[in-house]
Amino acid sequence: MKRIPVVDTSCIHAGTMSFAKYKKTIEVGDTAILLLGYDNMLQLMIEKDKIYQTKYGALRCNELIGTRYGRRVQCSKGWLYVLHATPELWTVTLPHRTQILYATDISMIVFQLDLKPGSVVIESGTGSGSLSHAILRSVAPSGYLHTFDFHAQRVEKARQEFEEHGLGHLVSVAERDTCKNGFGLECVADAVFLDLPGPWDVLPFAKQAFKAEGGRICSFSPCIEQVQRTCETLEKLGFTDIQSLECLARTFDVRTVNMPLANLGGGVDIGVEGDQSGSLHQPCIGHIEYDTGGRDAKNTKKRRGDGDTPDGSTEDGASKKWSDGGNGGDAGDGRTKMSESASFVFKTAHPPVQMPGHTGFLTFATLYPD
Amino acid sequence: MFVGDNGDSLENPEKDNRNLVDGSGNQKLSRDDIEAMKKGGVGGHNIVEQLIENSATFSKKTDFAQEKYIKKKKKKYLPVFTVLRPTTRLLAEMYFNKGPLKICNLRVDSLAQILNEANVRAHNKLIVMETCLGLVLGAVMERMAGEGVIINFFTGTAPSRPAVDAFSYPDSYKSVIYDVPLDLVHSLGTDTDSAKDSAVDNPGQDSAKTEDTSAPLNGDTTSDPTGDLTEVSMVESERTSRGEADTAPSDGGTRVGVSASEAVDTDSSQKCVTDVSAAGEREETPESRLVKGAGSWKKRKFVSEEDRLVKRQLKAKTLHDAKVILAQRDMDGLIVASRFHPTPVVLSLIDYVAPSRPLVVFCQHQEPLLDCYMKLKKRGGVVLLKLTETWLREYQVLPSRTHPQVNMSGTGGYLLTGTVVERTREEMDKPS
Repeated sequence: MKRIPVVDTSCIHAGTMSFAKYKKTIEVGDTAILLLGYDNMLQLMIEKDKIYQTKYGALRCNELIGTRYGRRVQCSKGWLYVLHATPELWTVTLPHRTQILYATDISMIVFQLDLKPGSVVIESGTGSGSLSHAILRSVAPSGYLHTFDFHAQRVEKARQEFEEHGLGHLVSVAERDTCKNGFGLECVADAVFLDLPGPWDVLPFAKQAFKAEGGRICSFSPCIEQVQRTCETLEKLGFTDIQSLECLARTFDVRTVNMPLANLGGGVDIGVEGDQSGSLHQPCIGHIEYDTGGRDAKNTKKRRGDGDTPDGSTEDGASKKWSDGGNGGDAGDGRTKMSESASFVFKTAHPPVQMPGHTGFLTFATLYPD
Repeated sequence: MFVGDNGDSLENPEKDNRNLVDGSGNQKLSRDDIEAMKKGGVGGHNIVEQLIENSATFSKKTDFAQEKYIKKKKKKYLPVFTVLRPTTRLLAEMYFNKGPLKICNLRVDSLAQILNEANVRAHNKLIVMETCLGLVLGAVMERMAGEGVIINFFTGTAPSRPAVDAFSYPDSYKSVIYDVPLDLVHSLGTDTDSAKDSAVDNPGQDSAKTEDTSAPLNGDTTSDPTGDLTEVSMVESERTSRGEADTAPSDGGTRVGVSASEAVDTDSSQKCVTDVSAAGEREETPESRLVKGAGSWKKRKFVSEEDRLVKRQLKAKTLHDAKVILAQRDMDGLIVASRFHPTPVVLSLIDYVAPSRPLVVFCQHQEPLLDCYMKLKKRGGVVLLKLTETWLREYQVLPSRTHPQVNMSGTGGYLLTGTVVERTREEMDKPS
């Protein structure tokens, strides 16, 4: 097998292994992840005598070195956590040099390419190295990644990052226009990943790069026209099991909703009495709970079927009236006998109001041996 | 199939379906004719040709419809299959298509995320608790390739994992697994004093593996409260030694083996522990058990006393080693994917996970994960808690006919992910 010798030893930090293997304590040269709040993370390099300014005050590396990862660190204006780097945390903190692939697509790519320790992978282009880190995690310690980009600075930066992350021995980063010149590799790869504007130009080179026993290929394209052309070329070249898909993640907002009961006028027995306080302490959150509020609160809906969502709750899920509690307004006119605080309380996983609707299409195919 | 020249059919729709009428007379060949051809040894290609020839409507169909017709008939009369080496991808697809409920509705994209979010890789020390026929465990094994430690908590009397067998892994892959019965979880903490001592002496998993076998045996028998359950444990060990992972009575009826994988013999070198006292509690007497399972114990006489003893010792040693490893509370991650309510499982096992390591909980329902989310928030010591669901859509990509597949999977389960961190004193003091 031919490996391109590109190791640039000038930027190696002695003793760093932040990504290759877990370790207990923070050491000089580690790339660590700083957690300042939900979805508020930074990556930083632990260096001796270095002081980082955070929104919670100064963070002195010297005070971190030798302490455990995952410990709460007190700064002058608040606390934060220093976390061990993982490919997933790197993806959300890395310096963007290009558009990057995110966790959902990455997990699908690694899975569908059958990556495991020992796999040899070709990637074009390297971009910001988001996917590369996940590939390297999965193929280590015995696999290898050949990654290509036609942008000189990106290549240099990626190479430096891999070294800093203790992954340099598993990867070669080369500056190369693969659309024109291919990979310069033959019979080495178990898997090929393409994130290029015109992947069809590279497919013949990709075919040559596969080992004799074949392997899996993936192409990421934002536009359906690209997918169309890629699939046609794959078919022509003898790839099979061609499959195009999209995968999107929805992140739910977990919260307790306090939905007021409408005042339907007093005196009429319109539902079950507020006798369900027992269900308030049910261990299962999926159970519907009634907050009986005042002692003589009446619930408008009779609903004891466990797990069923009352008809009203879903439509109101989209409204923003989470916390306004009481059903004010009509309280003063004297017609109501219902407690103002009577409400239907439930725990819910609220779908995102807005979410990414498209990242790109993933096209997978298999090359079987002749 | 890509038929290159069809691209212009949209522009020149010289044919359409205005004259096509659904009727039984459209195909002149009868069911019997086709059966006769099959019996007469007529090849699949020939049958499809005959069907086309005898179809009154084929020539009136559009090119696309003709292509679709041929494809459909070929699928029926010309079945082609390829023999492939098992991979996580193929097995996950197979199990999901065959019976998603048996694997808790774990769709491929969910499994892919479990593996990535849990940062599964060689040299990790992972805790896995799953009831997905061993699919999750098998996938983890593939990504670890025999390097590291997997503490596998199983329910019932013996681990049942036909999917792992279907991978046909080499023994080295299996050697990293330490099977521990889940119902021993609560005794793990109380019984680790001795384990802690040895952990200090031998703080590596390798040294833990090579420890003397006599000590764990003693430890195991002392944990047996009644002392008269030896018979049960022998029976247990023997069952496992033969690789019979049949459904335990206490384990409900949902564990259904997959015939293809059952043919693969369970590797006898796998370490397996069964809780003697717990087994005793489940079963009234050893005798009653014998009656229940008499049929499956026919081969009992072929196992010698010495073999049984060796198996028992092996199990006891595995349990001891697992305790030593867990006592360090330094595991690199926790994966839970089961049909049981995740909260109690997660809360019992999370204490063994080191700070700054991932937690991944899969469930086919959303509500248990909501509960788990709330309880973990209350407990503290977990950051970046996230409840997600993925949406997977496949596409038909054909010239001039590209569109999303007509059918798609509605759910592939839900995931709760997070990162375990050190708990603060206030969090520890909070009443649970």
